[in-house]
Amino acid sequence: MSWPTSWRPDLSEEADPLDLGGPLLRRLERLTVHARRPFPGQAAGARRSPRTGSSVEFADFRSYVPGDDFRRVDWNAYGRLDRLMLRLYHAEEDVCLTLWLDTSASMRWGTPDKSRFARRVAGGLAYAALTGFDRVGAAGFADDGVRRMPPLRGRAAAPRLWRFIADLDGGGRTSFSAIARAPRPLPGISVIISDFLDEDGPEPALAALRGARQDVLLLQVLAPQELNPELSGDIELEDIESSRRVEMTVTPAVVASYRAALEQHTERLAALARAYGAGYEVISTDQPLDALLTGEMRRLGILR
Amino acid sequence: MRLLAPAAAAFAVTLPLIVLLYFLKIRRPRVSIPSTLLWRRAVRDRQANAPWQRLRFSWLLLLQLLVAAAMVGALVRPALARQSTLSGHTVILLDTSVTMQATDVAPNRFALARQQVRDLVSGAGSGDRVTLVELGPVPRILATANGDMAPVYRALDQLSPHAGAADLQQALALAASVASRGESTRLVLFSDGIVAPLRAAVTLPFPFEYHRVGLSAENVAITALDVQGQAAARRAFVRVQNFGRQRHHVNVEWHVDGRLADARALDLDGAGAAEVTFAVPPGARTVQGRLTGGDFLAADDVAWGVATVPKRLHVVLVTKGNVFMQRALQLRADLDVKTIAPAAYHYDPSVDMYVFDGFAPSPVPSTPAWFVNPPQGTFGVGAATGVGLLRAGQAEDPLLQDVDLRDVHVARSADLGHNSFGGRVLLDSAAGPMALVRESPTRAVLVGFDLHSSDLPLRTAFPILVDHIDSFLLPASVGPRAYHPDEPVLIAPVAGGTMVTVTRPGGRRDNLGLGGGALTPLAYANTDDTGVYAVEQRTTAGVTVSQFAVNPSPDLSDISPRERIDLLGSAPGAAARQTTDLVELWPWVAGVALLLLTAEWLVFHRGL
Repeated sequence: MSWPTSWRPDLSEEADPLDLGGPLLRRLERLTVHARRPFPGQAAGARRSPRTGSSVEFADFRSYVPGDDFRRVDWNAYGRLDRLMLRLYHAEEDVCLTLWLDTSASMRWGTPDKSRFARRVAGGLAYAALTGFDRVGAAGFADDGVRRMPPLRGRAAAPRLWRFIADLDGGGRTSFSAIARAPRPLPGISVIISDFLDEDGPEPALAALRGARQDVLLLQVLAPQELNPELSGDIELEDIESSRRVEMTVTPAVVASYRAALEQHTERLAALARAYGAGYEVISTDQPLDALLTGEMRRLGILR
Repeated sequence: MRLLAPAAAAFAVTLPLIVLLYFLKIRRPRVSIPSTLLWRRAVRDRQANAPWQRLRFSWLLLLQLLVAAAMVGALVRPALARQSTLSGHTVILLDTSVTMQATDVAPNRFALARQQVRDLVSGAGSGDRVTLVELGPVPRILATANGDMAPVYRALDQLSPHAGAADLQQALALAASVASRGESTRLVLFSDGIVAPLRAAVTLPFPFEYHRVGLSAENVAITALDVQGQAAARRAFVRVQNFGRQRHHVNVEWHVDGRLADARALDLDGAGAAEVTFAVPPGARTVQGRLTGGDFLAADDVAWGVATVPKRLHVVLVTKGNVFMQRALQLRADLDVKTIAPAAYHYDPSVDMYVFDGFAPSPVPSTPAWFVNPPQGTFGVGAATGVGLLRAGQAEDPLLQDVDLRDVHVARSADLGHNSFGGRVLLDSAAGPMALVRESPTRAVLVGFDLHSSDLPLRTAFPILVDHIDSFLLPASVGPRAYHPDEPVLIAPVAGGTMVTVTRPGGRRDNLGLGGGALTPLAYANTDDTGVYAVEQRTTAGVTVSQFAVNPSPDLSDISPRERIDLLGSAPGAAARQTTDLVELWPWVAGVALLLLTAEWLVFHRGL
């Protein structure tokens, strides 16, 4: 697939603040965002809708009732069965992809930086959705609320969306209740990108999004220093968000205990996601973005 | 084991400091992380929030304390005496004095020192030479071995400690005499360092190594036992002294002729002393004081005394009147003095001593006698002449001991320059001899001047001089005082004696022959045992028995082991070198510290 030259995005620094780069964008153009289950859209798009419609993909028959569009009567069936039957097709409607970006202070940590990595992932997913004629909305959330951009459509909206994502202010504490309190997004796909390192967990958000008919995917972004800590000796750890301090002597045994606690934490998140019919994946900021978007996301089924 | 740098033990203060550091909060570097959520879960069981929790058992703390202790142990430089360092000729001095019986080390100092000597000798090689010298009251060479050390072992087995002091001066001289010129020789002394004071500085031509034996100074001793008073009311004074630093409770038992007669309890502070008085019943022969209560040296817990009433001696003063002489003679309690006029004199063989003043009998009696101001012609005495100041006839004459003759004048005296009395000059002057003293044929003293012609009777020197002369003329068989082990005892033979026999406390008898009945005192030196000795003197008239006691010397009751042997200030290296042939252990202790440190590192990284 190729675009008309006038539609190619401007990849200058100004227009590509997330530094996605041309090669990656070209590969993303060949991918489309898919929900793991059908859902109704608002405008005709390239996605199958749970509602039957007028596309070419046959769905079912049903008996004619007065008021039905007479043009959809299957006359061949009438000839064989002598009954008026309506031929039903899957409607092809657009998908609304909502990207929820954790903008709390804890995301601005790690090498590579978790916040930047999360924004690049979001930018890539957004671009894939826009080029697939889907609508894409974005929101940054923290304990001070949600800053949201209404859904946009068309690849020409990509630079605007990227700029919004890049310009999301950071700070505050992680709060998934902010998602629950936010206006409901259009039915579609919600991707929550966060480090999920908060006391309360994402359950309020999952419950709210399920009620908003969202196919939810949790992407937990962690820095390599969180997956394999390099701390040792007598130190005082300070929580960036809460300023809470913990004195400890980090020994190999303590590091092993940390890894066990991390594994327990991710298992608990995965179980929670399963309970709400959501997907869940841990990604490390040292993963190549190209491989993540065009490989890992395809394996997860969100991009095809 | 010895500590060569004991001051370094001050570093042990690091041990409580380490414990203290576990109380204190560590100044930890701060690290900002996205969330402490997972870390708090990881250290939930390890975090210490309260000080008392920090004192829970910790392998790290234990190992750090052990490392610190081992490092302090290395810093104090522990050292062991080398066991197998014999080379060339080794002269070993083994102390056998009474203080080596102290039991402050098990089983006692002597046994421990003997074992150390055995250990040292066991390291001798085939070409090594060992000489074993007993450091006792009379040092002697016990054995010399070359290669085969069997003679040394046999001599050690037969050795036992004495009751007397160690004569280090003589032992060092003996050791120096056995060292061959040109041979590599060293001297090793095993002792507690309590030796008789050196009489002169010692210069040793070889290294001198002192192995100290003993630990404690705790000892209580009877330092004196003295029987005093007349026959009717005799009492004994017993002095008990604590030589240690701790308070001691002791019982003083009083035995009369072997039977317990009395007992007293005493509490003695450190370095304290007390005197106890006991009654001596009439007819008692020997008394004994004995301490019970326990200390480290039993040898000085007992002392003996002779309680026999001295024999009364009859003295006749023949004079026209001499109050000075009469009073001076009566000062001795055991003398019955009778004064008669020259006209009343007649010889009485039962009289023990005559004092002739201004009179000379004819014939001269064979009884010991004074002849004061004899008439001219007696013993060849010449006419009276003017004199002046008196002076001693001989320097350090025992009869003039403590007699001060300064400014003593004599106005007139007979000329004794050409006498037939014999003997030696006791008192002299510029004009000639003033007094003579002789021992044969009969003990007698000749004084050439009238006491009234001199200021001598007015001086304190006079009664002292009279007492000395009386003791010379009427010698006791043995002196009345108590003796110390290995001290020679002078025994005065009685007139007409043929045999002197001394019975030791253990019952062993020593016969002392008399050279033709001479009255020269006999020196008896076998007094190495403490207790009561009996002296029997046989004469044609029968047997006279006297006794004397040998008690431990109070100089040896201070059993505190001496840190070093003082060779009277001999310059180290030039005169005597005290070398310490020691194996230092600090490298091993430091190695242990290193191993512990490694273990601590491993434990830290395993997170125990």
